Amino acid sequence: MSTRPTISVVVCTHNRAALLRQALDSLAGQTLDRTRYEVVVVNNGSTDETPTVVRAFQVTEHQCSLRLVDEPTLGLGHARNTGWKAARGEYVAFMDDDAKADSTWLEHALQLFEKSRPAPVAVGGQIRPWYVSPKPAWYKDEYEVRSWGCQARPLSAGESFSGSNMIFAKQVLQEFGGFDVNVGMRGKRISMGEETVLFNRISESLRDRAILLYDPELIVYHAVSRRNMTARYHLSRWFVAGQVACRLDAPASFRERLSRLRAGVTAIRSLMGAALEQRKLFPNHRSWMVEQLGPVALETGRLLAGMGLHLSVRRPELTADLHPSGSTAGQWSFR
Amino acid sequence: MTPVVSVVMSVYNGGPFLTEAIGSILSQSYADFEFIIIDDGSTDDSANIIASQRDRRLRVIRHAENAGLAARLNEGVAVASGRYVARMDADDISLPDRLARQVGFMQAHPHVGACGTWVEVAGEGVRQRWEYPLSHDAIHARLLFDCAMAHPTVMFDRARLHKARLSYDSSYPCAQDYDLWCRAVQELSLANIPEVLLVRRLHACQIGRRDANAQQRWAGTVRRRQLERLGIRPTDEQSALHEAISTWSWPRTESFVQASEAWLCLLRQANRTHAAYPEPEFSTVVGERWKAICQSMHQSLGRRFWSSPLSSVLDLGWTENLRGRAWRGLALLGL
Repeated sequence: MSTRPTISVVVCTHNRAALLRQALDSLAGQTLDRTRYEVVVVNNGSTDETPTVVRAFQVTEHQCSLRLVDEPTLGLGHARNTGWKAARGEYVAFMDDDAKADSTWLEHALQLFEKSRPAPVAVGGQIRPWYVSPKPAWYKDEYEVRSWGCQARPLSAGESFSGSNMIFAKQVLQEFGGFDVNVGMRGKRISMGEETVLFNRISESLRDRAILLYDPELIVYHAVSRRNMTARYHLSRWFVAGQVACRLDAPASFRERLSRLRAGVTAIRSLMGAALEQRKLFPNHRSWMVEQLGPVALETGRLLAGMGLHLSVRRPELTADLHPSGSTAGQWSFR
Repeated sequence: MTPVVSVVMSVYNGGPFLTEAIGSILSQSYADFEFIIIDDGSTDDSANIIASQRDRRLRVIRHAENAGLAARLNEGVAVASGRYVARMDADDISLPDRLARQVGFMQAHPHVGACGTWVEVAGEGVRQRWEYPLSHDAIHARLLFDCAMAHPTVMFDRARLHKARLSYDSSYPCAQDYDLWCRAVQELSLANIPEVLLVRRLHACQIGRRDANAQQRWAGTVRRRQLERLGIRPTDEQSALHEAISTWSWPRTESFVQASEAWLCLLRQANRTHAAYPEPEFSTVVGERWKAICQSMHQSLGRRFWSSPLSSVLDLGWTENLRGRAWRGLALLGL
């Protein structure tokens, strides 16, 4: 290719061939001029037909610049690092393999980088659900939406972008050495936090200049299948989030560790009490579990991790009952 | 000897409740007061009821024509001789210690220009406690949405009010108190006593009921002026939104939640620029409305509530704060 793309989209994938095609289709259908972006697929040790899917895509959508890069070391952090290092664009966008981007995603992101002053170091937006299985009645869009409100604004301390909808200036990734490879998803083990570590490092070092610009118009849809729509899955995610939170904010001294454990027990008891009190407000026990036992699970994860116990939770397989395009929630609702 | 307190009450067709209202003042545990009753052209048997009262502390002024509450209250304040003026309405009941507690409060806090109390609202099968904000700054912030002092409970320092050239604006047929406090808050220190010292009666022939629309409209006029202090000239749509939020009457729809979040964020932003209302009280008041809106939509406060910047300033008690920490922890990890 003769011209350099302005923006590179990195899609890291591990054994999700069925969904990957749709992710790539959404990227091929962007409103941004095709010469201005490229797609870099990082194959993170897939053992399924992922390479075939990518090759087939390269044939049918030959106008879209797409490269396949291999990263055999399992771990989302590793894969993302390989991805941005291979990227040729000035900006690097990250999207997950089980997601699809809104058609104006890249065009809008580029506009934000070019028009906003002072220039942001990263931009990001909302995640909305893309139901690939029928949604059960008790399930709420709220469980899947990741949003910092309906207004564009710079994020403040304690807020960060979802890893499936974040676009960096490549220079910043270089400067900070990319993602932490010690936390985060590895193969089938659920985890998270590699981008949080990076955002924390950026904001600690650049302080006021670390502008993370959030814009709700930047939308990525995230696949939600039957297997994700269970209380069990949600609670395990809350639990793992607690473990990660403990690791991100590790206690320094033995004394502090002890006092945190004590505080953790009190927190769990009081959250559990409050959850039981509110049980009758919920017509369905599953939504009660997700919303009320979730915080209990998070504190339990934090407590156990603080005691040195790390339980690993496997990510559920996305099931085969995907209907071809699924349905997305445009205007998401509470109920 | 001039009395310490002048109680001012304007009566317009007080009818069946008048005897009890007058009795509740005459039987106060604090006795050093004069009781100025102004008959604002009543056409029922109010005049006879007033005339039948025998107490040397009574001063009755009779008018044949009806001039409205604001004008009559100004007249009452003008003839009052006490150091403090206490308000009273013809259909309410002051609890026996009301004057004693308020005089004690005013003497203990000589910088306070006017103080109100909490009220109990009773009648027609309803029994509610209406709690008002206590500190001057909290009252000031609440005035953006509604009148933060219960009118019949107010006691003010006559000299201070006079010195600040404050009086009721008789062009307001209702909401004249709201108008007055909005002007007074710039000049005087306001406070509320956290105790129920007056019972408000709910009945069918009340001004609040009879003329709910007019009340709403005039209060709306004051609210618009309060918005102007923030440099905001609302569009019709914004006005309607602000009225709905201010009067606690909103539709339970997701689009309302979104619109109100944007509006409340805008208010906070405007106050950051104009510093018209004291912080952090202003953010707290705005946050409380946000909480009420989220609660009315949903069984419990979840992601939608906690991921908004509006919730970050609220202190909801130990357990809820823990829950907030858990939700924010989850959101921070992009989940």
